[in-house]
Amino acid sequence: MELLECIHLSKEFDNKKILNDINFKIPRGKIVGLLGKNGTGKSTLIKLINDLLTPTSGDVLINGKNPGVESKRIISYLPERTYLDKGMRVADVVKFFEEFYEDFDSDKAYELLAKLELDKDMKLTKMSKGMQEKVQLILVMSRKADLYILDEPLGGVDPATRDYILDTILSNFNEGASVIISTHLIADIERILDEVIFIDKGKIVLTGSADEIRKKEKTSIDEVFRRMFKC
Amino acid sequence: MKFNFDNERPIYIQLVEQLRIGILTSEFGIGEKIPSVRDLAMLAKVNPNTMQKALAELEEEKLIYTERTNGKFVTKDVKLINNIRDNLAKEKAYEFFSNMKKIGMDENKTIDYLRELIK
Amino acid sequence: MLGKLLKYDLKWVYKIIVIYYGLALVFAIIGRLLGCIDNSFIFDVISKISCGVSVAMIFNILINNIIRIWVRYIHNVYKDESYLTHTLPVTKGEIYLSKVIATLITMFTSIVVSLISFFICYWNDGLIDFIKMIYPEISWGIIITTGIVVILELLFLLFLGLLAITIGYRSNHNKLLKSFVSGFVIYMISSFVSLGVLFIIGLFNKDILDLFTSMNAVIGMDILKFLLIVAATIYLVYIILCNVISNKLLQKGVNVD
Repeated sequence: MELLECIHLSKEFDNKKILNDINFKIPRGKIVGLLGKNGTGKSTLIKLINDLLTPTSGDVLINGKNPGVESKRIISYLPERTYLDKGMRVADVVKFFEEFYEDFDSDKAYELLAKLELDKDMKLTKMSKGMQEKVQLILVMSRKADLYILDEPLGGVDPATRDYILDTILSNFNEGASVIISTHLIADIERILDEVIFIDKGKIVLTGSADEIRKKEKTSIDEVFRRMFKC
Repeated sequence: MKFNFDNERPIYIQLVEQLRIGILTSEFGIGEKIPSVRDLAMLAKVNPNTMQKALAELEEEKLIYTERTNGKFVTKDVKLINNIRDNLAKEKAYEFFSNMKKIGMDENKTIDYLRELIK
Repeated sequence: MLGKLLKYDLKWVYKIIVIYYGLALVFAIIGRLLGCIDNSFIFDVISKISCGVSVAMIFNILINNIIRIWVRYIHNVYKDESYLTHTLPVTKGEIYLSKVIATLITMFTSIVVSLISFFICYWNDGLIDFIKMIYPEISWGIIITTGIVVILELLFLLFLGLLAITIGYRSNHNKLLKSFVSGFVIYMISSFVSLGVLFIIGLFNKDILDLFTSMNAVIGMDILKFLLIVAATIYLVYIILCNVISNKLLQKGVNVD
């Protein structure tokens, strides 16, 4: 059974098709890039997988089942916005995650927090947006999940942090788990991708192995993307 | 060992090339154990799957071999390593001569020039 | 998991109102103590002011309690925090039930604190005499039943708010406005239904029918008691309906921004 499968998945808002007949499968043990310009439906797709939206038609299947308690146990999701209760301290949110997710490793979270020099006693309201995003990434990566879904994890971070994020993703990517990274900053992450899904205007326009595409097109994924969408 | 990549060519091919050079330059010495796929992937900052593929390619070339429980080792076959070095040298030499030709130096001139240079 | 959800819901709602709890009680006690000092004009004035502040705090407690329940619901289930709430390994039913229990618990404590503060400030035999003077026929039964009806009405208002938010936030635009509108519409409908129920009862009960037909009907204690029980029943039914519908709607899934 596939880890994640989307079957004829469509989503409409006000009779406008945001996603149109999306079909793909993600097996275990892969890092997959969900690539597309801003506003092409990447986040909508990710929200459908995470039960934050309900499909207009079609199905999302995680281990063969629609999103629900079981899928939430095994998916670790980093949204593109800050989603923590800002009145809490960092240590409080670590405890929160520990209470709700069985696969959460708080020692690891504290280790990563120390590495990024984030104060565990600091209130989230006192933190910059960038710092809050780092805290969220640490929380998400400190779970031993089957599927990590990272929505624009590299947006607006400095190069040093970006390298750190990629390292964190790689070093936490355990066997049997898969990672979906949605981004429009392709050059920064294409090195670590196994497979890519290009999405444009709510449709999948290209899927395949990253190295196969490089071999065939004799250029980088980033360049293929630029040529395809002329940006 | 340091890795460098461009995104224009398949990453696993670049990995194979650079690991191969690592073996030829004894960065990974003859018969020595090489780090695990995970550690190597972290070192090169690439996907472990890609590293796995590169190592499989090197194994196909017999440059490395797997001991069932202990991990992967560099071959003890010195002849094979030398062969591969020869091939690579040949390739590089041809490339060099063809580049020299492009700037108007034929083979004889190039050889004379090289003799002059290393004196 | 329900317990964990509830813990965080309660923490959030109580975060501000416990301060008001403290203030209401402290000012009530100060007011009472100073009021006990005889023949002092200044202490008497301060006592009256303290009791006034305590009553203001009681309003603060009740209003804040209601608003914080609604705001928590919007933030936690539909705004930014919903990204975390709906990706926790819990069911939508548990999420909603936690909000309902949090509402009941916090409202219970708020009402208890309010009553205690009020009694500390104003309880004395003169008060009972005063009430007896206005309503000679009044009994403890009536007072308690009235209290229960008021509490049920408050709870109805609260859960109506949750239902209105659940309806408003199902749409894609103007979610807050649509919440207000649906809340208002549901409230109007519920009022008409209540009147209708009363009228139907009136068809079998002449005293009740008089309330509709005669301009200056006198409400006797028996009718009042009956009316209070009818009101309590109606509110109870509304409260259950609101929660059942909200929960059903939430089960269908959310569409967060």
